[in-house]
Amino acid sequence: MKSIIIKCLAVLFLVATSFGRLFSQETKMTLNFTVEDSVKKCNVSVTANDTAVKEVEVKLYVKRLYSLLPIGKAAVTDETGNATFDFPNDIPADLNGKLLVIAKVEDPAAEVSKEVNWGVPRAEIAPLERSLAASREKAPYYLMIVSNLIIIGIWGTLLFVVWEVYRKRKPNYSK
Amino acid sequence: MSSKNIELNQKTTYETFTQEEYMEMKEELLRPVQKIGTIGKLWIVFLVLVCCAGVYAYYVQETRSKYVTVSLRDYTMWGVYISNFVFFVALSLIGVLMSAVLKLTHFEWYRPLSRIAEVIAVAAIMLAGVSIVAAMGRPDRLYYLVIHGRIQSPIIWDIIVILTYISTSLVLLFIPLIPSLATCQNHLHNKPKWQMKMYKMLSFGWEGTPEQWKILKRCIKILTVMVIPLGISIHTVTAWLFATTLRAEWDSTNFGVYFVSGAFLLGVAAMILAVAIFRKAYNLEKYLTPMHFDKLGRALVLMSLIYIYFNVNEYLVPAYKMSGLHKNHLLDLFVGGDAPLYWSVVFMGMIMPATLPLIPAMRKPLPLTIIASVVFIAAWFKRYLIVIPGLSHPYLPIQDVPASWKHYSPSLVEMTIVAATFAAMMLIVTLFSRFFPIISVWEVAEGKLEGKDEIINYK
Amino acid sequence: MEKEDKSRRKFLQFGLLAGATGLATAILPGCQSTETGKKVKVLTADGKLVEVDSSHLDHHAAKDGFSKGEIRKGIEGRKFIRVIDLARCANERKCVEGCQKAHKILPPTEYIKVKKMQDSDLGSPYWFPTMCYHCDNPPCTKVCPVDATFKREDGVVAIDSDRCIGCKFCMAACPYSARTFNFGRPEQTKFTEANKDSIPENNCTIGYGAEGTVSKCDFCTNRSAEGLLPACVLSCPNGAIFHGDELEDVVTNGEETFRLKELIRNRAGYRQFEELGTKPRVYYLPPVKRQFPFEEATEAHNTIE
Repeated sequence: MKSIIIKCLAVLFLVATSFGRLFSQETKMTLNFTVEDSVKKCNVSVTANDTAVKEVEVKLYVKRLYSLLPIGKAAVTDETGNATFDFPNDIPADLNGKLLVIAKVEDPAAEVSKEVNWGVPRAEIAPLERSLAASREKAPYYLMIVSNLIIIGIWGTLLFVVWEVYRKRKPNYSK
Repeated sequence: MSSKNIELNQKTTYETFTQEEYMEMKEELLRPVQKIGTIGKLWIVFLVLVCCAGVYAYYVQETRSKYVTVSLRDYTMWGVYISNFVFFVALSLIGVLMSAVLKLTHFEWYRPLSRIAEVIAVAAIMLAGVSIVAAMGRPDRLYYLVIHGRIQSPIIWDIIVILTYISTSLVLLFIPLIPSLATCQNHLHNKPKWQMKMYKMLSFGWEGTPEQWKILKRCIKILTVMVIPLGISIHTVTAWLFATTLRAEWDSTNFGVYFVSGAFLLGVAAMILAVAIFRKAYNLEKYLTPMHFDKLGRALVLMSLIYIYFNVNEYLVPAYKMSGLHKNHLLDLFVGGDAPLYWSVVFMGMIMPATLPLIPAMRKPLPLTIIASVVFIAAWFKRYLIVIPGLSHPYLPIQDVPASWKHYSPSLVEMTIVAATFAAMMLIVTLFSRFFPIISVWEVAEGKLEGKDEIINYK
Repeated sequence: MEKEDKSRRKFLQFGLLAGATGLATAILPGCQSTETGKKVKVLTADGKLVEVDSSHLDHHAAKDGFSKGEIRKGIEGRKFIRVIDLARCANERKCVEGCQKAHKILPPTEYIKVKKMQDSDLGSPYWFPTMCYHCDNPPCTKVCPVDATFKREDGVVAIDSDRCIGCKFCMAACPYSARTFNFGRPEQTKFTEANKDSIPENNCTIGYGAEGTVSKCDFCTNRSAEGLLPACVLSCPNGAIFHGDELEDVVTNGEETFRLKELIRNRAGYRQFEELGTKPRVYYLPPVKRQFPFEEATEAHNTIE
């Protein structure tokens, strides 16, 4: 399942980025990740036809299952066409800690995305425990042991009684 | 060698009990099997017809839309089928109380009653199973309970204990029947060949040797002891079907005993009815005597008092607190829409049987039979009151639903099937009593031999 | 592998629609479905709602090829969760209708219901959307005799309607009355038959349970498998329902996206009947600073039997 989702995401990502390229040929964005004094920084530079785009609002997101999670507030590019975001340390990610970071500019519409290893890797999901609410295979041991003991005890007695009566049906046979 | 001696001894003991008397007793107790009168035949035909109506109603229910044929909706998704199921499980405890408990506590008057009680128990538990299947949405998947059963589910517990109880009750019914089968084989005449063959086959080559008697007695004793916890378990687990849910109305630690005590009250009432009917229909006045009514009348008082005690715990304690969880349900029962039925059941099904039989005249056969019939009917409605109003007051309010979703009243199809389960129960008991002596000849004779007059004599 | 191919193809069809470029077309096995003319709203990977033709989104349970084992295990690496902002609910019933449409169910059956609640005498009434809470300690799966309803590793409590025997014990056990039974209401049966092959708006592949079985809200997990939000979330005009993945710590209503724990902490999120110990996976944000004044419902919607 996971591989399907990843594949699908990859394809969609390709589609989305190429889509972006078609319509905003001239606006180009690049994402750079740096760590300064153990503070994670995400730098977005916006250029149009190789010149820096100033004073444009840039938004930063992290890709989630259903939507994009905004990171911090929107920033405005400086003289050099750069906007810098502080990247939080507590964004949960997949098992490898990989996150897909996306930067967007609305006017002119452009976006860029890049994978970075900055997420908190999620723990392996533990399989469901044995419990009263679990499936048939996951019945608690105590329940299985106790119920089987009771069933065997009662049915054992019952079968013993039937056998006794059956055995003595012709008195001569038992001798 | 030694067995021959005992045989001789037995022959001598038999002499204290005149052969004539014994033959007469056999004659009288085998009479219902020997000859079925016109009324007896009409009664069987009537029961078969009601059963057929039930089968047809079930066919209608299963082939047409259940939304149309059955009044069940999302909120009251358990209706009369389930309350009927609870009723029949309760009724099946009659075997525990009127046979096993009396036997073990040496109340000798159990002897003519025990087989009647055991037959009713077996029939009732079977019809409890039928009621459950009638309530199922997909009866075609019944076998999933075996291949996919989850031991965590109270339904699976219930099925296991019910199957165990049916088996134990059948064995407990059958083993004391073995000597009677030999009696049937020797004394009945003009009966079809297959019937005689059946007696022979089922009697297991019974010869009445002392060794056989010894084993028979021992097995009966083991089973009698075993059937008591089993009977209590079936009804306790049935109570758990409700008590293991989070619904406030059923969320009670009192539920198991509350159900079991109700079942014992119903058991006594059903026993009185059965004794009254068999006594008249099969002319068994000599064996089912006014003494039995007197004793059963006293038992009825005792069981009613116990049941009232558990009802006080079940209803008045939460009513004292009137917490938000219980309020809607309790007020509905006490002063709301279900109040007339609730108070009728309280007076007719508990207070009346707890007080009236205190008067000796009310313990005479006719008045006690009338009291018992009222208790019997009230007991059915009591189960209805436990199941249906319990479902109509969920935690989250029922809003914006069609009128039929709020108020349940059983449909014609449902009531026909319920009626058919009663007919089928009586049919099983009737047919049994037409093929086998309904009063155990040897048990009564044995009691008389031991000089226990209270079996049938009024003291 | 076959399963993967199938679901991949669906995504590729969708990709073409979104304006696929050379790379995508190269692996695309050709789009053979004919347009139905019926538009369906879907959420794209970048969080935009776009309208596409319904023929491009054929995902029937059978065609989806999820094996029974996978359906029981759930979507890997997810723990679905929901937060409902009671301040935003105006009882417009769009979630109810959207859900009914997506699951092909007719009124009066509702997987999601909106109830009028009032907690205390002086408290003011509010609208309370309720559905299956997919509890972590589910009373319903506890009592099921045949494993027909079960808890999955992705947090969803699902029903296998091929397994359900219709004993309705789970309905008795659920303190939230979240479950509904298919009694075979004639209108519904006709509707189900007539719409067997149609793909409704915000289609959820798990439709109404078979006749004689129990069904309920399934959190639209088949949509989630494709990154699409559940039908009720998309239908809510006020964005009151936030759906998400607990492991990602994010919930979204399609427009706004919040960190889950932050949202619950800052807005005093709570779960209904916490004292029952069922541990619901649906949280509520109390109806404070309401966006709409409470207006009594003037219309009964489910009067038809």
